[in-house]
Amino acid sequence: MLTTSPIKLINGFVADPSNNTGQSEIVQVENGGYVDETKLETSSGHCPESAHQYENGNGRCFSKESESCSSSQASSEGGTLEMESELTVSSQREEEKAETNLKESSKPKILLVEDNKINIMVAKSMMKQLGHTMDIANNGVEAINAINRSSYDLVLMDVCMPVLDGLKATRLIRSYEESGNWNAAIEAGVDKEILENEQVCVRSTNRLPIIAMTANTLAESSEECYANGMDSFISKPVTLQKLRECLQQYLH
Amino acid sequence: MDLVQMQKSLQDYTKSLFLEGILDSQFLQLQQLQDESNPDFVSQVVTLFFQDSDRILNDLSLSLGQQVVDFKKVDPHVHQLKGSSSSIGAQRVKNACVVFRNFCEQQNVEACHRCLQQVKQEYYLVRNRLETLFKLEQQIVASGGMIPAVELGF
Repeated sequence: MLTTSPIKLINGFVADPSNNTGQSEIVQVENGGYVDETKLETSSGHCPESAHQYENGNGRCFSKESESCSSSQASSEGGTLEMESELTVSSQREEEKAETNLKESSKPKILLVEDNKINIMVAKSMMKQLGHTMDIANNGVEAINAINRSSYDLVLMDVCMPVLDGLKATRLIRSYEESGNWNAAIEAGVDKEILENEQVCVRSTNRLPIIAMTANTLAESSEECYANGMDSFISKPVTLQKLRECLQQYLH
Repeated sequence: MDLVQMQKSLQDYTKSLFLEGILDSQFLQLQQLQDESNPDFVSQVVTLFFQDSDRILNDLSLSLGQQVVDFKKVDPHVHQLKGSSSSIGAQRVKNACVVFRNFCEQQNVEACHRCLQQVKQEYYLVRNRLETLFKLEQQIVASGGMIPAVELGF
């Protein structure tokens, strides 16, 4: 069946057959390795790539305090924060609404909040191998807007990002969960109009699992993550095993 | 050189990169993600890393070359390079970035200049080695062979 590169067994790693996401089947091949069948079917559309890319918005930097690791790249830019990607996501909006309505039966919605393109590429590919697709947000503001638009089952949140970092974004999301409104976010400078106009889904009463992806430096310590409302953390670099364990624990 | 010899060369070459610490186990993670549905994944990610790193190193040279160095501009670049090099397993580049960031925090311009040189050196090294690796792979594929699996005793 396999005509190109053979299965790579590294350090005894095999895809754990008991570790089924419910969407993949593990079959054994002649060389003693295991292959995830969904990978073979991917090109035929078995796992359609439905990742929505939110364009990076310009905005004020919220990292006035020295403790925060939010990059100050945007500190010289003024103006309100808003998404510039209205045109690119509008055609996908219908699909999103339909998806929201079918939430009960459809696959889990995962949001990856990460600004580094290489990290995004690696994480997406890992998730694909685990049988999942992800939406992408490039900073905390885009994450908040995404969460406002759709109901997610899991958020993977990079800690250090420009515009609004992961710690602050998580605090604002938890505030929204507790209060039912985005006042704190608006106060922090997230675009009022977008938050007020774009709420298309009914807010879930379940706590949204937010997992930090941290470089484990002082500013990104696990204590900081928990203190800001994260449920758990994955230390970088992200590996297949770490993601698999995370999914096992937080997706049902 | 026949196919078997080429494949052995590739394996030895790859192993040497790990033994020299130029690559770490994260690179193996990338290789695991390469398969029939994603046959060029490693070279795609690595190419993206090269493009991104070229840009960052250029920006860093500019930032550090200013009369008054703005560390608020320098540090995010180093942070990004540290992140992406870590993600692809470019261990020595990552380690050089860690040192660089410490000096950024201390706002030590002299030391940062030295760090930039060190990072550049490590980056050019890993880029050179990976380009050679991909060439070896291409030769094998062009000869109708398969890329042998990397087996290391980590």
